[in-house]
Amino acid sequence: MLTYVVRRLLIAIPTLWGVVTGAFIISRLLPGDPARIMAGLNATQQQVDRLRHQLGLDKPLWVQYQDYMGQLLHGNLGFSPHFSAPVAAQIAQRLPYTAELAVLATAIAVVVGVTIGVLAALRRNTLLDLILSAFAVFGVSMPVYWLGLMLILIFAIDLRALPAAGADSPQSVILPAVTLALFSIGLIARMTRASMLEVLGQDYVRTARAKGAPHRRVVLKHALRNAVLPILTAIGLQFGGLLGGAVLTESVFGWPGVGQLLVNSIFYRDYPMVQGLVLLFGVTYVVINLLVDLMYAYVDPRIRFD
Amino acid sequence: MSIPESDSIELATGQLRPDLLALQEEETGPRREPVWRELLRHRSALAGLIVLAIYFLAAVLGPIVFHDYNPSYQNLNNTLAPPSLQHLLGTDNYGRDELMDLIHGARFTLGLGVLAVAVGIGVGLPLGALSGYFGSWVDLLIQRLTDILLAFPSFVLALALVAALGPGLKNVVIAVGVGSIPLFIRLVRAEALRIRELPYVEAARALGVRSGRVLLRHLIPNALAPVIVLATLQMGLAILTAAGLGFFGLGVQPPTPEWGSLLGQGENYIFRDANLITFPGLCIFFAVLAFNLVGDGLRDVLDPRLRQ
Repeated sequence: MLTYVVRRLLIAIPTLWGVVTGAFIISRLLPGDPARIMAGLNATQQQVDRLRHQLGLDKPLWVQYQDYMGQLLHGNLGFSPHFSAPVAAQIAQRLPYTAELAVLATAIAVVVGVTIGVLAALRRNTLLDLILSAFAVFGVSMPVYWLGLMLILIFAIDLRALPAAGADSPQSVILPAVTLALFSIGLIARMTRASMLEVLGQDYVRTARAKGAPHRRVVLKHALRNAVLPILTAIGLQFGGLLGGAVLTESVFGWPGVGQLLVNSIFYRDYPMVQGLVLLFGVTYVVINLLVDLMYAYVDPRIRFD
Repeated sequence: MSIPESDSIELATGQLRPDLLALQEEETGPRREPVWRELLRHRSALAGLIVLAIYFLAAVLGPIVFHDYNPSYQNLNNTLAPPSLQHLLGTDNYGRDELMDLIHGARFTLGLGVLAVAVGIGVGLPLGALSGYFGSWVDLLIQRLTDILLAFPSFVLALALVAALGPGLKNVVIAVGVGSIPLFIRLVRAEALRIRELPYVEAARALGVRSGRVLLRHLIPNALAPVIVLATLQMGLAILTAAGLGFFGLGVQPPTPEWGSLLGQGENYIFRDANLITFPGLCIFFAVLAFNLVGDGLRDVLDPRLRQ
């Protein structure tokens, strides 16, 4: 197992380097002159030049890249001109909100998605299967930004049951979390159903039934445990969608997380912030996928000996 | 079945050797009825195809039939009007007819999806085939590139790219298309790894057929079925992403009535006129749903492993 973990960690290093470099390249491609934007419209050319020199933006790109990598290794993500604060501090302030939303949405998605998938597989080709499968495909087809607006329309404007925006009360997280979860519910439910159907047709499930094992035990111990690998894949896969969805959901609901910060920073042309956030999203996704891979090896011993 | 010993795949009579034909059949299965006919019998896929046909008609015929409607014409005396016989879905904040905007927007939203996936296939298919067929350092290089592209959530990647490239139709196509490139590379690579070991490819290589020809004539055509399935499913996702960019005002710019940007404009009037968000959203939702249903159907029809 240890060999597998070490090998998998080593493979993640070039990917992380790629993510870090990708964030640098994207931030340098952004239009406009960062020094001019930071100095403000009233600054003289001299002031802009001085700022450009202070920021190191007059150095060759290769030197800027070296500086950036060096600072990053010291945990320095740069300075945000819009917020007049270090990028890392702003992100640290906003990150708990996104984490809360993502964890809650994932929890909803796993519980609801797996339940729907198992039920649909057990009642295959019945009306229940049709309804649940239709719900799942609706989930993966729904634009989150539209779903969010419709939920605001129904639950906040018409029924006045839940807050429409912000994060002021404990109930504020309900609508964004449900909105964000729906895509993942669809994805997990579809994968669970397919995986369960495959496993339910296996000899060992038939053997367990023939031996007279209770239905509940056959489904939960024999079938679901063996169907779990593709479900884990789905959970890993949905995380990319979840992070992207968080950007949209947070903007629709005015949820003060890093997703909303990314969109705002693009509009403010806050380059260091965009660079830091793109980096954050990339690194998070790589780490999550790494954890999913390690979980595979834990669940399925064949993988670590391969 | 063993690999034929003779190095010729043709008999003296000019006919193909029956044992090689049998090998190919073993791979593809016995000849079935045409795919499209099976697809039409697949109920949910048929529903998706009908929706796509309606959208396609709106995209192609809409601008011809309603050629006198100009999406950039504003009537500020008749803004946010409720549905009426004259304006079936009411008017928007510029007094433009909502239904006409949606019909004229069909070709932009659908076109964005199709073109973005074309970018994904255009770059991903050759790279995946090269990666899987040649292996060694070519494979290593392409796979690390794929890992890096896959490391960014697709919407975040599209958002960052469109911020860097600027808004507009062409840039949205690139920004959305780049996200699907690694998926096609992965898929085609896996297919290439499988196909290159098959007897008919070995036979072709043993005959001295050059690599380029093996790739173009044998490998890529036989890898197309799963590519078509992925492409269909990706079109739904590409439409979602492109419309999401439009929603933020970073995609196709007004007055072009792209559905995502119509939805984004409607958001500002959520308290006054819910129609402005309801209908563009429904249009996007049904487009994505239709591509997903057709994609699922194609997968059922084309992938023999899933067929019951």
